[in-house]
Amino acid sequence: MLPPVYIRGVGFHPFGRWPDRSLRSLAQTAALAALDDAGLAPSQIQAAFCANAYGGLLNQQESIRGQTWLRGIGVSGVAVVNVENACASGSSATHAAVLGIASGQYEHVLVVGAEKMFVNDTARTLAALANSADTEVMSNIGLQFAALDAVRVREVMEEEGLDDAALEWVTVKNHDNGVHNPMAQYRKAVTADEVRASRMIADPIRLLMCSAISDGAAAIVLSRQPGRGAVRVRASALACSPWRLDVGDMPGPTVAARRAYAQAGLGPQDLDLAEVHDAMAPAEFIYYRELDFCAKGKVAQMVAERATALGGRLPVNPSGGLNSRGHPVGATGVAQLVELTLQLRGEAGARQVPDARIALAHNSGGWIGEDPAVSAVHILEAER
Amino acid sequence: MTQQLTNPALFYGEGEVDGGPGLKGARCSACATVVLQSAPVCPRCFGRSMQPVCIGRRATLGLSSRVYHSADGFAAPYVIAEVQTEEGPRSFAPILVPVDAPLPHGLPLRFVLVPRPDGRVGFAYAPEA
Repeated sequence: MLPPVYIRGVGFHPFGRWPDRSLRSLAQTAALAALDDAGLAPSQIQAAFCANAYGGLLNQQESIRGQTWLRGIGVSGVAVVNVENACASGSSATHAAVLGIASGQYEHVLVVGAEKMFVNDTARTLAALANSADTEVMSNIGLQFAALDAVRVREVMEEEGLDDAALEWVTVKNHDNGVHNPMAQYRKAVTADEVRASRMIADPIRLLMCSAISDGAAAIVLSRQPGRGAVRVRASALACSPWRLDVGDMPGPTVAARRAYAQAGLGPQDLDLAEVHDAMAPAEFIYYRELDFCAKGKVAQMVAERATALGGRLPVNPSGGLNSRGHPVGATGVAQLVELTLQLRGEAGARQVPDARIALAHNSGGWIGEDPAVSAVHILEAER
Repeated sequence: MTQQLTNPALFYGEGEVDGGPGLKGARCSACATVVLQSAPVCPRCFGRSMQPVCIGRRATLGLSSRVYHSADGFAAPYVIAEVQTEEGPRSFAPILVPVDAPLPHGLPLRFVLVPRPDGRVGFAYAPEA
C-alpha cells in the first residue's frame, strides 16, 4: 500500500496553438496556477519533476528544461529532475514525485509537464514524434504513429466485431466532452458525418480521430497532507514494454494496470471514471480490454451501451481525451491527473461525473517490440 | 561500392550473410528462442549465448493499414503491415502491393531489398510469386 500522497494543487496553460508563448512561459503559467491552487509559496516546494519530450529537437533546449522553467517563478535551490519518457513523460515524472513523497524525503513536490510543438514546420514536429519509437527498427519504413495505431485498431475491430460507426461514435463522444473543458484545444462538437467525411490518414483512422500537435502545459503539487477535496494517489505504476514470447503474455498497459490495481487494493469494478491515452480516439477500445475495463469480447457491448460516455457506467475521457484536449506530449500525463483531480473534487463543471470517488489515468509513450515503450497507470481516490 | 542500408541494425543487405538478405535476429544456444535484432541476453532463459541469425526471408501478412499521409520518405498511398516471420518474431514492414489490393491474413510474403530515393537500400515484403 502506498503511504499517503495527495494531489494538493492543479494548474494548466490551455492547450492549443500559442505562437507568442515560449515553452518556458507555458510551463511557468501551469506551475504558478498549481502552486496557487495548493495554497503554497514557491519556497515551500522541496523538489520538482519536469516532463518534456521534444524541447531539444523542437525548441533547442536540452538537458536543463525544468531549471529554465522554475528559476523565474521562485523555485530555487531544490532538487529539480528532468524527465523524458515519450508521451508518458508527464506520468513518469508524477511517478517519481509520488515516490519522493512516499519515501518520506519530501513534503511538497511540484510536477510540471510542458511541450511546444508548433514550430512552423509540421514535418519537423512529426519527425520528432517518430523518434519516440525504436528508431533502429521503425525508422525508414513508413511507420508513422497514426499507421501504427491504425494497425492496432484493426486488431481490436476484428476481434471485437467493431465497425466504422463505433470509431465515429468514440470520436464524437470525446469531442462532445472537450466542449466543456477550458484546457481543451478543440472545444467544438463534431458529428459522425463530419468524422466520416474527414480525410483518411491511415485506414481506418481519419483526421478527426487523431490527436493534434499542440502547445500546452499542466502541473500538479503533490503533498504528504491533503488539500481541497483530499484527492489521494492510491497507486502509481510504470511498466516498460514486456517481452511477449508466448500467446497470452500480457501487454504493457495490462502489466501496469494490474500492478496499480494491486497497489491500490482496488479493481476496475471500483472505478467511477478514467482518462486513457487516446492518441487516436479509437485506441480507447484497445485500452478497454488492456486496462480490464471489460473482458475480451465485450468491447462492442460497452459501445452499444454507451458505457463510457458521460452518464454511462464508466465514463472514459470526460476531458475530451488527447483527441479533443490536444496532445502536447510532455504535458499529457499531468493533464490527465489535473482532470481527474477536478472530477474527484466535484469541480469539473458541465463534464462532471456525478459522485466521482475513484478514478484511473492511463498514459502510454513511444513504441518498442509489441507494445508502447512506456505504460503508466495512476489511481486516485477522493477521501471523504 | 558498399550499399548503405536504411536500417543496418535491422536487416542484412546483399551478400552480408549466408542465406541473406533478410532481417537480423538472434537465436539462443541454450533454449533456441529467436528474437528480432541482436541481443546479448535471451529474454526467455536469460542465457548469454545468443547467436546472430538471418530471419524473416519468408513471412506471412498480419494486420495492415493503407496509409494516405506521406511520411518518413514514403509517398502516400502505401501499405504498412505487421509481418510474422517464419522463425517467429514479428515486425512492421512496408508491403509492396497496389494500395487497393486485398490484404488477407496469412498471405505468404518474401523479404526484398528496395532502393530508396535517397540512394540507400531499404527493405519491404512482397507477396510470394
